Amino acid sequence: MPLRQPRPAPAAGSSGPRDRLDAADPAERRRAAQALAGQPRAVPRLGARLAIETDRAVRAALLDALVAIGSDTALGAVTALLTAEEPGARAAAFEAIARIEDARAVTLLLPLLDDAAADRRVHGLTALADRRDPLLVARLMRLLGEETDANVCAAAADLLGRQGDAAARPALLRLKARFRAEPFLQFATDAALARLAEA
Amino acid sequence: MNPVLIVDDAAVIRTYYRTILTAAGYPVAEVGDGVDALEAALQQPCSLCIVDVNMPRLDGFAFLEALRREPVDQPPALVITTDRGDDIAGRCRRSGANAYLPKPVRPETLLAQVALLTGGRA
Repeated sequence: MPLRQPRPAPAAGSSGPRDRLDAADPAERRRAAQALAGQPRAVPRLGARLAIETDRAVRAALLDALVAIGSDTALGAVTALLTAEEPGARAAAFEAIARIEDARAVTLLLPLLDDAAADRRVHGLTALADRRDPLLVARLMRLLGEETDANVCAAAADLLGRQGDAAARPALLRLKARFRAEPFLQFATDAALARLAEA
Repeated sequence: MNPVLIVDDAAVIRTYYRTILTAAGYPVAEVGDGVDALEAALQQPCSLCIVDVNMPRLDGFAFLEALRREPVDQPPALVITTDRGDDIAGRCRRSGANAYLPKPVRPETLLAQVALLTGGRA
């Protein structure tokens, strides 16, 4: 049986980056998050800290670390922040998601379109704005037929106008007819139809 | 008259507000997030800020809080958002907004609120 070297005992008063994630000093928490960027086993701790972190720089470092790890669990913690109460946390999550490669981000974000809260569905559509994926176009077409919230419909119409093709036109026209009394939706749908006509 | 500064990350919403406001005679400037908004508001005085909440880089509340700390002439601010929290109006007020409207906003509602906040100086 091979002999194992005993691990050296940690020096008194020292702690690893995972422990320092909860340090009182934000600079120390930020350094700890940066040190954990390549460590998949740190995802639960990074995610737990992210859920309660209020310091902007630390939050950015936690998000960077999770995106760098890139596992489904890590990216799930990032997308979970999109529905946070605090707008600053949501903005930070949007920033982080912009750094995730397309197909994975779409897969992670699509479930947000089924959230019970309309403003969260809008956030999901906003986060998907620069993504190109056939799954997304199909989902947008379906959403236009089912969705009842005008803001969600307008965001979906805008996105479909950018990503769809002539096949999206009937769905947009039906939406326009359904929300005849809503000026913003008329405006957004007209803009989407004009964009499709130019494409 | 100084321009009305529109701050929203959705281009279609900025265009919608701009179309309504320019038709009514208001000069307009527009940016897509809170960082650019702060820069714009500090570079050139504006008669009103129309601010979305959820934006990348710097959200609308953080933008207003930062602007209110600056030693400049403070424009009134109107928050227009999809957020529907129980205390959304209070949150707007605490961040330095003068008024709040839920999205989607009708042209006549927008114009009435803008006239109120700018003293009707189109």
